[in-house]
Amino acid sequence: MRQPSYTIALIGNPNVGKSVIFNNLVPGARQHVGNWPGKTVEKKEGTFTHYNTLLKLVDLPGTYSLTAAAEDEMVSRNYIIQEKPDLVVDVIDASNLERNLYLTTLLLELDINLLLVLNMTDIAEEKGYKINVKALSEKLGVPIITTIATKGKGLVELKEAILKAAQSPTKKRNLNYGKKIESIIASIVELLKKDPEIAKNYPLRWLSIKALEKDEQVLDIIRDSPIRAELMEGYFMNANKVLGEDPDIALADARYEQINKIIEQTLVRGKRKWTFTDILDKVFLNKYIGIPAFFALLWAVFQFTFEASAPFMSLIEMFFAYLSGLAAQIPNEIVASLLADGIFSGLGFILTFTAPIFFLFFALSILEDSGYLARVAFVFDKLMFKLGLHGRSFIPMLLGFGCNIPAIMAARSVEGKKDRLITILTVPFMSCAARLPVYVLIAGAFFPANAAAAVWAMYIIGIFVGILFALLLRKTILKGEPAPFIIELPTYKMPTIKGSVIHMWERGVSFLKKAGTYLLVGAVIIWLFSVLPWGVEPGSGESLIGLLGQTLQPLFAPLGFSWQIVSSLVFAFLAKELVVESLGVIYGVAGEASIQAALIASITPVSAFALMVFTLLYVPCLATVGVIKKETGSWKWTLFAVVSEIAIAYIAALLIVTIGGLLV
Amino acid sequence: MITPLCTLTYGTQAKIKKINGGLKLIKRLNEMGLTIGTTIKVVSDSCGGPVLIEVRDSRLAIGRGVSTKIYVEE
Repeated sequence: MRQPSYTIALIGNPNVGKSVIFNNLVPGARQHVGNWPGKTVEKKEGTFTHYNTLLKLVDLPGTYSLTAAAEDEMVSRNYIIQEKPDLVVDVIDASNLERNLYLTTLLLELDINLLLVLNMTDIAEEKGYKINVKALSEKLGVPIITTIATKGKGLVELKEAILKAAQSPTKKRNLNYGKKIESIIASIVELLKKDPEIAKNYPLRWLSIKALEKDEQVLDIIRDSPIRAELMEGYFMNANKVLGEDPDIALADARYEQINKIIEQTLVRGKRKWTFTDILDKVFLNKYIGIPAFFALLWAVFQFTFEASAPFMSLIEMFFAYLSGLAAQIPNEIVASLLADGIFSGLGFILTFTAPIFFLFFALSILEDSGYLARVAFVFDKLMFKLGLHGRSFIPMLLGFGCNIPAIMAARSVEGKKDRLITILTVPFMSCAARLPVYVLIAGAFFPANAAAAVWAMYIIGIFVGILFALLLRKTILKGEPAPFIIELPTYKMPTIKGSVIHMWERGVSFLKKAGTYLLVGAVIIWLFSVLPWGVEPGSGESLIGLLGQTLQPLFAPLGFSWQIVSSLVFAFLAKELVVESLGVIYGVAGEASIQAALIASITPVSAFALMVFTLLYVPCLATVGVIKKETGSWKWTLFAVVSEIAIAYIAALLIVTIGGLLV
Repeated sequence: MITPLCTLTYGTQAKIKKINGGLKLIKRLNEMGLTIGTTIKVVSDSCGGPVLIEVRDSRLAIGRGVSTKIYVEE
C-alpha cells in the first residue's frame, strides 16, 4: 500500500454536507447522509487520488466549536489539535454564513492550513443571499471554493483546491479582536515565550486565547510550567478586570463582531422570503397538531409499507415454495430435508419479508432526508421536558426504527452522561426492521382487517414503553436534570426519489447480507435442532427443538404461548428475524398462509397480540447487546439492559393477556 | 421590559440581554450564535414547550429549561 502524501480533515457545523462531500471525493465511500444534525459520530477515513497524488480524507463529526460538549464533538477537536492534518477543510453552509463562520474563526486562531468550502450555495441563493466570495476569501485570508455537493457541483474544483492547498500551505491570518483583547493576548504570548518547552510546541496566540478561556486541556499543558503562577494570578485577574466580564464571553463577542464586520462587506441579504420551511414548520411544529401529525405520518409509513409490499411478498413466496418443492425431490434424504425444511422453509420464509423491509426503509429515508426527523425532537421536547427527559433523545429513538445499532451509537450526540445512558437503554424498545416480519406474520394471521394498524400500534407501544422506562430510570437510578436542549433545525429539503432509493438499497442490502450470513447459519442450526435426534418427526415434540420448547414452555404458560413459539423466541435472542425463521422450520411448511393457519390453531388472538408485544420489547438481538456494552463500556449496564428488557417484555405481555382475557 | 425568552410569542423580535446560567451553558449558547445583544426572532412558540427562534440565519430549537434562562428585551 502506498502511503498517502497528505492528510486532509473535513470539519464544520453539523448538517452542512461534510459526509456528502466525503462520499463524492472518496470512491466507493458510503457515509450515511440525511437531513438532521449529528449523523456522523465517529471519524471516518478514506483515500482518493488527484494527479497521481494519494490523499487521505477524514470526515469528522459536526461541531459548533472546539470546546467540546458532547462526545462526538470531542472527536473532532482532538483530531484537529492532536493529529495535526496537513490541511483542514472547513465546510460551511452558505445559507447560514454568520453562525458557521464562528467555527472558522476558532480554526483561524489555531494557525492551521485552512480551506473553506461554501456548500449549499443553491439554498443561499433561494434565500436571496449574494456572497462576494472573492472579498470573503481576502478578508479571511483563506482560499474558498463554492459547491452544491448534493448535486455534485464544484467538486472537481474542490479536488484541485485541496491538492493545491495541501502542497503550498497558507497561514496568513488577519483576525483582530479589538485593542483590549489583543493587548491581553499579546502580553500572555510574551509570558509564554519565557517557557521554551511551550514556545517550541504550540501556536502561542492560540494557547493564550484558550488559556484565557480556561480550556481544561490547555490548562493541563501549562500546569507544570514555571510561568503558571504568574499567569493564573497576575494575568487572568488583570484580564477579568480590564474586560469587565469573563474572558470567554468577551472572546465570543469579539469573534462575532469580527464576523459581522466581514459579513457586512461581503454578504448582501435579499428580502426575506416566505419559504417552504416556514410553511411546513407552521404545521408540523404547531403545538396542537405537532404530535398527532407525527403519529399520522407514522401511520402513513406503515400503510404504505403494507400496501406496496404485498404483491412482492407473494411473488417471493411462490419462488421459494417452488424451490422447496424441487428440493424435496432430491434423493438424498438429509440434503433434501436441509434444503427443503431448513433453508427454503426457514431462510426462504424470512426472505419474503425483504419487500416490507425495503419499503419501510424507503419511507423512513423520506422522513429523514426531508428534515422532519429533527422536528420530531422539537415536537416531543415539551412532553419529554415535563418528564425530566431530553428532547434530543428522540432522534436516536426514531433511528431505532431502522436498526437499533446505529441508533445506540447516535446517542453519542446526546449531551450529558446520564441523558446519553438513558437514551442507550431506551433505544432497544424502538421497533427495528428485524421485528417487522414477526408483526406482519402475526397481524396478518390474527387481525387481517387491521394489520397495518396493529403494526403501527407496536411502534407506538415501543415509544411509550421507552418513555416510561426512561422516566423510571430518571426517577430512580439516574436522577438529575436533563442537559440543556438546543438543536438546530435544518431547512426542509425535497427528498429525491434517487436519494431515497439509494438509502433504501443500502440498508436493504445490509438486511440481505445478514440473511446470507447470520440468518442462513440460524436456519441451519434451527433445522439441526428440529431433525435431531435423526429419525424423529422433524419439528415435533421429540426433536431437540421440541424438548427445548417444552422445557421452557411452563414459564410462558401464563402468556398462552405454545412450545413452538417459546423455542422460536429462544433462537431469536440472536436476531429477531429468527422468530419467523424457526416457526417456518418447526411447522415445516413453506408459505405465509399455512404457517398462519398453524399459528391460529395453536394460540388465541390475545396471546398473539401478547406475542407481538413480547417480541417488540425483549432483547433486540445479540449485536445490540454488544453495542450496548461497547457504548456504555460497562458489563453492569449491559446486564441491566438485558434483564430489564426481558422483565418488561414479560410483564407487558402478561398485562395484555390478563386484560385481554377480561375483555374477550 | 426584560422578560425570559419563553414568554415571547410568535413573530416577536427581541434582543438578548442576559443569560442566567453557568459558564458552560453560556459558552454553548455563544457558539450556537446566541450572545448578549444578538437579535432573535420567535418563529414558533409552543406554550410550555420549546421555542423555535431565528438567530444569525439559523433556526434553533431551544428547550424549556434553557429558554427560561435567557432574558430578552423586545
